[in-house]
Amino acid sequence: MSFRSIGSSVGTSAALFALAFAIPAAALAGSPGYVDGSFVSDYAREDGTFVEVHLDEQLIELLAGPASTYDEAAGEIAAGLESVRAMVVELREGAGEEVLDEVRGLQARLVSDGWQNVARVRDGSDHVFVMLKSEGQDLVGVTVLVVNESELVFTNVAGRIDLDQLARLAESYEIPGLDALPRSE
Amino acid sequence: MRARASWAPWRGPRNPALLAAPLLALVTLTSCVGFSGPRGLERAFSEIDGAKVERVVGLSVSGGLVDRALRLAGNETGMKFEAGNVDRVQLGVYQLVSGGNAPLLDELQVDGLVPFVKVRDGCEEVRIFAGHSGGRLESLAIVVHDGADLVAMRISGDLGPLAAEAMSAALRRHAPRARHPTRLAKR
Repeated sequence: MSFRSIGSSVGTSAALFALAFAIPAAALAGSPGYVDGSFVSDYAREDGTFVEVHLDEQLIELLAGPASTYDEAAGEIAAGLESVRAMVVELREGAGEEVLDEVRGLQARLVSDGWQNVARVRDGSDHVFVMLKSEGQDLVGVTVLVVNESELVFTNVAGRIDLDQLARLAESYEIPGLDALPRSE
Repeated sequence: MRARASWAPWRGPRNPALLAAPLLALVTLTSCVGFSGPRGLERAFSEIDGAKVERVVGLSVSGGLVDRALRLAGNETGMKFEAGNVDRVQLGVYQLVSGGNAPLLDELQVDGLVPFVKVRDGCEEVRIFAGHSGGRLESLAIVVHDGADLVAMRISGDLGPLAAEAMSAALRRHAPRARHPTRLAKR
């Protein structure tokens, strides 16, 4: 294994980790904004790239404090979040359409569960899906899926979420998927 | 005529500091450096089914030495690390004696540590684990496997500030280069 490839892998994971700790994460299946993304790994190419960041609630709390000393917005956002999961996988050969069907199925299930489709973008082979879950006035879940012929990105953030702050943070840090979030301004 | 022997008993250096310095260095280094592998990880490696790993190198460095290194690194990179937060850094390099090139780390479970980053690229794998207790991030472990060798590092101490600074810097440095499908969609 070359140091460059390790560096690249660690670099990607560091970016996702940093996201996860700028925007904390946890695996709370009971949380209304939580979406199980385990299906993503079913479509991963065996010898391809697979990156997953998944922090539990305690880790979020542990990281939110120190993170806020370096990035105030990150600390504020972290305080309200219950869970973050981000996955980037290189798809196995010819799985693009199959994944798209799976994503559409997930989208339908989420809509029937009270989620809203707020954005769907198609540009060539790239498909972007943005879904939000609200409870009263509060936004409690964000799920972003990006699919193209070779790659699938899944990001789920659960908890009390300020979408503007999240979008700003995503823009600052160029977090995979979350740059597709709508902003109120 | 017989030559006079020029040998005479060595009475030590004229300047005592010349002797004291290496002795001090020896005492310091032996108390700061050990040769054990990362705690807990070796046992976890031994419990992976169908794989046998042997340690090639083990190194354990105390926090004091790490602090000095971090300060040096901080001076070079402009990052500020809080001295005294790291208690110990342990590093191990292992050779995979049997087990092939298949992904190895999927079933790796380490007592007291939770995996939160998983990276796989072909037969190369990276895992990052975190351990916490009493509301503090106390341990971070990184394991890298390339199909033939394993490299493991475990950092222990009060790691919250260190992790925050390191990850913040890593994010700013690496994130702009990350591949970004959504950027295509925005064009």
